Amino acid sequence: MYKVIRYDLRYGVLEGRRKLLLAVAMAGLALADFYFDFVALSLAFTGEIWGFGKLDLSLGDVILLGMGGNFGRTGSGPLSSFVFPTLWYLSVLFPCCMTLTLASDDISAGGVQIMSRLRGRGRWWLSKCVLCAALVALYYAVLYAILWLGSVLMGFKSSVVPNEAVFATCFGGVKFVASETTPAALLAGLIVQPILVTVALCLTEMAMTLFVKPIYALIAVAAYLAAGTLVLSPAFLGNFAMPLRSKAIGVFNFDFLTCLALCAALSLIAVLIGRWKIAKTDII
Amino acid sequence: MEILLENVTKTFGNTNVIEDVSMTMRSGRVYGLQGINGCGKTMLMRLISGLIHPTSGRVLVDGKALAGENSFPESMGLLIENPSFLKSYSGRKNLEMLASIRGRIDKTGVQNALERVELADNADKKYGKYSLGMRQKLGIACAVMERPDLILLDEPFISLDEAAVERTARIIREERQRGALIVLSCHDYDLLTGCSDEIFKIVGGKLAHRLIRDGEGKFKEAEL
Repeated sequence: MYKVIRYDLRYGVLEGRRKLLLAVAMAGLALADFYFDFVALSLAFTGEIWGFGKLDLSLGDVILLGMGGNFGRTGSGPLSSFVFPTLWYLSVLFPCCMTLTLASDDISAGGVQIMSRLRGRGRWWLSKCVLCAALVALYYAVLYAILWLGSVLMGFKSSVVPNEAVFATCFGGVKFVASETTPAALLAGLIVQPILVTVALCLTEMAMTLFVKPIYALIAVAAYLAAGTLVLSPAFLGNFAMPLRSKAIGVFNFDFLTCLALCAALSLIAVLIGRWKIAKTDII
Repeated sequence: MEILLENVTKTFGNTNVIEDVSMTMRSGRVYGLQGINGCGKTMLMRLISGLIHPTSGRVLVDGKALAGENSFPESMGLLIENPSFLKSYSGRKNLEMLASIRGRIDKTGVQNALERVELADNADKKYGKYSLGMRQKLGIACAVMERPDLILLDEPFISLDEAAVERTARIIREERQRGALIVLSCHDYDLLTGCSDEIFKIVGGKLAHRLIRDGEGKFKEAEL
């Protein structure tokens, strides 16, 4: 088992390295989007287009403005307007595309040779699940590394704590109070929760590809994610993956521990169902 | 090694692709499967290899049914239809990667397998750049490199030139001498009879005839 996981991680990640360009593209989009927001902010706060150093911004601001998601439709007040969070949506959907055909492609390539050497389909499936989770983690590592680098180059702090005044300006007067949360909670809400949710969704999607064509699995996950942008419910894990809706920001209660429990449960179910299905599947 | 198929039937939808097949195979012999396209040769190979499950009946390897976590024979080399490897890696790297999973052979073992199929000179080319014949040679090398007890070769001579066909036939004879159980399917009757000790003729998913080579090298009809 260890040897095949090592095999998959070593060569699966290498095989998937071109797909990581999606992470680079995503980071580029987020930074570009932030840049335009930043120009507007700079004008509003300093009266200058290039007032970079005067706003006391951080990596947290870049993540929230670039890929923070939205506050959903809450009916009235400053949170009532709904704009589809395209960048956030793409940031979660890209890894789903990256890992979509990991299992199905492998069965039609060298997977049969690997399975026969392992003597068990279950071990092969578990190895694919580990590879899937590793690729998602790698995707976010690349994405956040580029965002961090971009932040540093623009002279921002490496902290995930956003600027309260800028936050209120950007999000329709919604108050974020840094003293009511901790940097660890912000780190969990802004960075860890999206990773957990994406891993769970990618594993579920990969298990679905054992039942239906990969494109249908992707459509199902894409629709589920889109629904999560509209419905503020823990049943839609997308809520936990949106930094703006995390408990750390203080508007909604999508907290880290619930996220961890739900993602672990969904991942476990996906792994077990996938393992059951692959054991029954005829490989033709 | 002994492989026993007990009344094996495989059904897809309403079609029996394999119907009530029973046979016994033992180490040190080459079993040829003969029949027209679509008669069920490849399906039978897939059943023996554990890639597909029987709808009814059992496949037993050394008395143990292929099922659950041990759904594949313990020591098996496999070439079924078109071999598939990672396109962006060389033939050598592909074999080394697969060999690393079981750890039975090292780089020298891989090199030996590549030399046996005369692919050593092209072993460092990317698999994606291989011709059909080279891909087939790599598939054969992959099937035999770890000296498995069971070797399943489905149409191994396809896309090979004359010299490569002769080399492959020699490899099959060498592996039989070593004690491997080999199951071979091939459309060329002369090649099949040249390599096999026993031939099973399959018609419409059923075993129709069993031919066994006698002491004079001729094939005679035997009881099913």
